[in-house]
Amino acid sequence: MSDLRVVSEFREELSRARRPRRRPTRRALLVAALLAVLGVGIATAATGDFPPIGDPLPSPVRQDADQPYSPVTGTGRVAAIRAPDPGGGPPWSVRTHRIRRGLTCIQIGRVVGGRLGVIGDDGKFHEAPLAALSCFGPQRPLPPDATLGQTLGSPSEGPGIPFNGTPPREYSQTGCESFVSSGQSSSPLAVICDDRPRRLVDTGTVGPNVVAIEVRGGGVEERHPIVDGRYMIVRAAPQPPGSIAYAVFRDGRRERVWSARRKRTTPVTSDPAVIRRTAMRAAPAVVGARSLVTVTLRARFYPKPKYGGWFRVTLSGPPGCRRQRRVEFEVLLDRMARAGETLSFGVRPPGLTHTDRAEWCRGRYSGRVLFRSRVDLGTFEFERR
Amino acid sequence: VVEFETVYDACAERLLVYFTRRTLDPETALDLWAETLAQAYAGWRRFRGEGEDEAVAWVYAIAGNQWAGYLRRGYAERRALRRLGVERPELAPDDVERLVELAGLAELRSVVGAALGDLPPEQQEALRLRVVEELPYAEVAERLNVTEPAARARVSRGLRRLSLTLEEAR
Repeated sequence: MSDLRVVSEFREELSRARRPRRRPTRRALLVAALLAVLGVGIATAATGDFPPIGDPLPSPVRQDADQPYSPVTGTGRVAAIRAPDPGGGPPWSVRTHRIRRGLTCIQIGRVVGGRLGVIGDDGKFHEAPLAALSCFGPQRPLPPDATLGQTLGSPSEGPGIPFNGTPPREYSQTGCESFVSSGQSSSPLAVICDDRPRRLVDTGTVGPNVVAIEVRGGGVEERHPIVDGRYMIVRAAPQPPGSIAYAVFRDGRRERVWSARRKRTTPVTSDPAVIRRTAMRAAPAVVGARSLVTVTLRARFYPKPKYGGWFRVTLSGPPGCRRQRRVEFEVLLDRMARAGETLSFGVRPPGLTHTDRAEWCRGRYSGRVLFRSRVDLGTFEFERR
Repeated sequence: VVEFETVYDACAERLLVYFTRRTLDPETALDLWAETLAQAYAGWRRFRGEGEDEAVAWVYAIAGNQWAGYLRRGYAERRALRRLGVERPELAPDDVERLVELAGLAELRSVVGAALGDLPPEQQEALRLRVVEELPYAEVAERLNVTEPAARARVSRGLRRLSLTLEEAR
């Protein structure tokens, strides 16, 4: 017998499995084939055709051996789980890979032909390169009754991710790449967003005794399967308030794992003095088709001397500009900002990936910035003639 | 009548080494190995041969199909594992070490490294851009200042020479 533990463990695992009972008869095969044809027809009608395959997207991350967060080539594995998209089309899944630092990272996206990627502006499926959305420590087998191993996403919060898959950017969970630089920074980076529908994706691992995740209450009753120890739920809107998710065990037990709380809405504070002191402006005032617009403001809008947090920015495009009618994104403060400091962030025409050739529409754009979704800091404007 | 368990004991470890030497990655090898054995277990009644040797050959034929499918698709199937409701086992760190030792991966890697060094410089560079940096062929072509078909040809020739060297080493 082998001295590899995995060989003896799998032998036991197989001996516990029940073999399929009998071989299907010719008649059963004929009926199955007929049903399969019908099923495929129905599925195709329900989800629409899968998109044609385009070229894989180039990697925005240098696969540099010296970088601890660089993906290790050849370690990408698409999980067996498939979650349907509320709008139809290719399902969602998770791909794991290892990075040079030894962690296991995951990314999520749409799956066609066992490959993970995005549906591009050209309507084609583009395989995404390995990029980390979130990373975890060493993967050990979960205890049999574990309900939430390595989870990603939140069922009821967050701006969500683009409906057509996560762009292959690092830390692109929001679909926007964002930053705030201090006044000393010479080259502000860009915020790149997308205004198309968003999806809230919730996925995680569970122990072998968990067979499903059920969501009940708030007007919903759903059962999400566990495949290879993982669940995945994709929604177009947050999980309804008041609903509760349960892990369902092999023996029929149920255990509450999360709930979508009823959200308290915080009123936006609009203080003319704060808006005046913040003195926000966008430059240049007149932009080219693909210009970077830099929005600058003074951090005088909060009484504490130091703070982190984020801005919520709403950008409204000119009438008739379908894809940029209303773009919402968050700008994360990447460090503690000092009171009185000049902060800036950049906005480029919203595009899905770095390969998209997005342009500003002709007309006037207006933006509004809220600090932590609560304090109105004022507005900025720019125009493309 | 030969039992599945007998065949498992006879070939399971060898099969895992077989996949590890082909994939050079114990985790991927484990995926392919588990699916192969699950398929063999699920379809054991379909085995029409006689004796242990024929049964082992039958399992290796399934393994060959799995390997070919992996090369075509780029990922390991899990159909039989799912059908049986069986979990793919996890590799313990000492299992990984032992497997690397059994498969002689250290020697294989040095063989690949040496073979890579023997390739003409333009094929080496094409392989580095395409396989290590995972660039699309269009960009490989741009970097090498050649047409895309020429870039594809360089990568293909380089891979073919490497695979021949590897086959000899096996």
